[in-house]
Amino acid sequence: MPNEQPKSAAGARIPVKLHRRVCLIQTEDAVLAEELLARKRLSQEVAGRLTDRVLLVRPGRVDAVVDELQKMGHTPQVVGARSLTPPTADGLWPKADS
Amino acid sequence: MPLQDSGYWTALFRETLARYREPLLRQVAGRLVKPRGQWPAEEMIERCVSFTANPVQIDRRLKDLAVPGRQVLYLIARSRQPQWRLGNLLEMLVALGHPAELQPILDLLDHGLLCPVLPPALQTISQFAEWLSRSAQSDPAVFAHPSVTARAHGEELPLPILTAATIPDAPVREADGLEWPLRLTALWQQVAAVPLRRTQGGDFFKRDLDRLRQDPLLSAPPADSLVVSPDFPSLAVALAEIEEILRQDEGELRAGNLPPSWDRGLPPTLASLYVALFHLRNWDPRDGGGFGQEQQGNPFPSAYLLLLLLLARQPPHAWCSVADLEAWLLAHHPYWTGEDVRPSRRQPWVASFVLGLAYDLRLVQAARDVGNHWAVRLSPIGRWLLGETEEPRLQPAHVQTLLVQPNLEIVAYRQGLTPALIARLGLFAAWKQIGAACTLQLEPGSVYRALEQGQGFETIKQTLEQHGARALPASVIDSLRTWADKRDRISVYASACLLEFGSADDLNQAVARGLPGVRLSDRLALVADEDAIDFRHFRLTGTRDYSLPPERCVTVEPDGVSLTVDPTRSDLLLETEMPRFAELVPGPTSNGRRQYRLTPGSLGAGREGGMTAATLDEWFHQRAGQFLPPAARLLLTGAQEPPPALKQHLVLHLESEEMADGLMQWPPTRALISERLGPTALVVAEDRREALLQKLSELGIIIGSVEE
Repeated sequence: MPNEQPKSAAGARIPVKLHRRVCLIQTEDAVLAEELLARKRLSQEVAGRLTDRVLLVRPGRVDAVVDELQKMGHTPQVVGARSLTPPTADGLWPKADS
Repeated sequence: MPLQDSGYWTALFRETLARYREPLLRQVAGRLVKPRGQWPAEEMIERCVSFTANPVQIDRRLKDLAVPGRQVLYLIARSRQPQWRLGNLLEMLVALGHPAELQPILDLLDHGLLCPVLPPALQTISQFAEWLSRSAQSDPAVFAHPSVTARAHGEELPLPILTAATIPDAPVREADGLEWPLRLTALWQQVAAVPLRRTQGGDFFKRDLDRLRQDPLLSAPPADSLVVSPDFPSLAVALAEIEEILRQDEGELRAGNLPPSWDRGLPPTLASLYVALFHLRNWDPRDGGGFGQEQQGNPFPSAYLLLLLLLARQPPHAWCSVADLEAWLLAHHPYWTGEDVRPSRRQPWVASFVLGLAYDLRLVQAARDVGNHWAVRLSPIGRWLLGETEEPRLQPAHVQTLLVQPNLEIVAYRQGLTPALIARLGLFAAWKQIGAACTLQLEPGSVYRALEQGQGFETIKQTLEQHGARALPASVIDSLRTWADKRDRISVYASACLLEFGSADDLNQAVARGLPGVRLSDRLALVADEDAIDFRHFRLTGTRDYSLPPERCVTVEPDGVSLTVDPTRSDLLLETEMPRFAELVPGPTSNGRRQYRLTPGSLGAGREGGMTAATLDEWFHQRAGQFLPPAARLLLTGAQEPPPALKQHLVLHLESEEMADGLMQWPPTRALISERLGPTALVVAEDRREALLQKLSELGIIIGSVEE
């Protein structure tokens, strides 16, 4: 049932703060994170370092970050939608309300 | 293309009926479902929609139709796609010997067996003539529900039996049907790398045109070609747009997805391309194409269907001369029979279509007749698509059809290729040559593209091993693994969800309760998809959406250098920004709020890091709702200001501002006062002290006290 509170050993709900739509870079190791921060164009897009392997990217700068990483020769795995909006069915067939 | 999606056409049928005004709706419903009472409009529409699911009722209505109307529905059925331009349907009716009039179409519209495609500007219609008159400048279209046309079978069209061509013991040519899947995949790869840009007029920019026309994969004729059709690149782009392999996106043509029908085998792939023939608006086999310039009143779709139906009319194994096909079409199709037809229109083109595109799509077989001219007949695929036979079973001759070389080149023999394999190969390897044997190249960029599309090292390796004629070279496996691993070195999360816990124990508990996250630190967890979180386990102490502007979450204390952060409204950006110019105050805090302090050292570090008074002004304005406090500005820029002067002054303090105003204004005393320090404080030079005291005593003002 949606309102039922699950029981645990502690019993209570866990307090948590939710950060939504965060842009991040996660590297394999701290050395690689340093390498990325040493790249001037990339560091300008980085707001800060959350951990030794996780960099916080300024909101809305994901495309620029991915492009810069690719220019550096990296092939980053991009998780989640980028700035492209999905295609709409148009043109050939008339719209129908489903 | 929602061809087989009955639900789509049912919804469109319902929506179209809803746009008929009530008198028209009653008229149409009266003929379609013959209501016995005065039904409300909504019920009439639902009854009409239910009609499409009742084959017995459909058969009855079809019997009531005149021959031309039944033939229209038969033609639509044979084209395998429910929507046609009105002009093309009329052309086919005239070619079949009927008068050039709209009556058969109007009858179908009146009976509800055909519906107009209503433009958005035409919200309702009261008569079909209204729709026709409003559509006079464009090419109006109509559609028939697939379940209606499916029952329009067995109709005999008045097409002639042509004189059979005599074929000696010559080889029968039939294409493998893979030419266009190969070319379309190559085009998809090109556009995935660099999109095509369109001008405002809909044409391509010259650079992109040249790129397409000079690409050997797109422009060279097929290895097995019988004739050279004009302008292959234009045809490729046109087919790709119809198949949604390329899609419009803000003035650019970008790569879409390869059609899912390709996974179901060659017949469904060719069926989809067969239907695309009747939507080719900006290419024709006579003149080629205009890369986006749609041809109004294009007669070729109707001509294509008539030619194929004419071939279907012939006995199954009989051959027809291409010249005879062309002669019949030019003598019967109204576009070519008009008296004012320009000579350029009469240039032969049927061979270019039948022996070109239709042959490449495996719709026809070809052979040389006794006069060494080409003759054609429908292939088994062609007969199936035109409803003459069942779907043929086509299996590739060899499954192991790839030869993967140590230099990362792949040789693919066409005998074993399928559309599904072509699509999979196209995902992770770049096409280099298309011919009897095709070649591809495994490259970091192509493999990376596949990984981005959801492929993995294992799936790529499995595809190559499953279809490889030999074991995969170790160097190829190493390269694939290296490129795949390289992608795992850096992950960019475009829109992740972070959960910030108060303590490490809380995070541990959350993980124990099934939080689908990755630990970033002892208090932070990353979840790629917010929808996967079961929020029943959590109590939200704050929420921050990073797609929105920064929130005010900092309070500046009265001393101007102490900053208190509200944790419920702060965010991760704040946590990384503040240490650049402020120091965290250690120790316990009240109400869970953290404090930072601005010091000369911390602000100096910020200044060295590029922070200026202007940037801090903006930061404070966003985060604290006020500009940089004076005390902070003093610490930041004090050293940059001109040096202050420390002086000794003799200051006359007065009881009221008015008295100070008076002394400043009265000339004898004005001349003795150096400057005004404040509302009631005046500076007097030491050497004028006695003179001022004298003047004050003349006014009766006695100095109360003197402090030395």
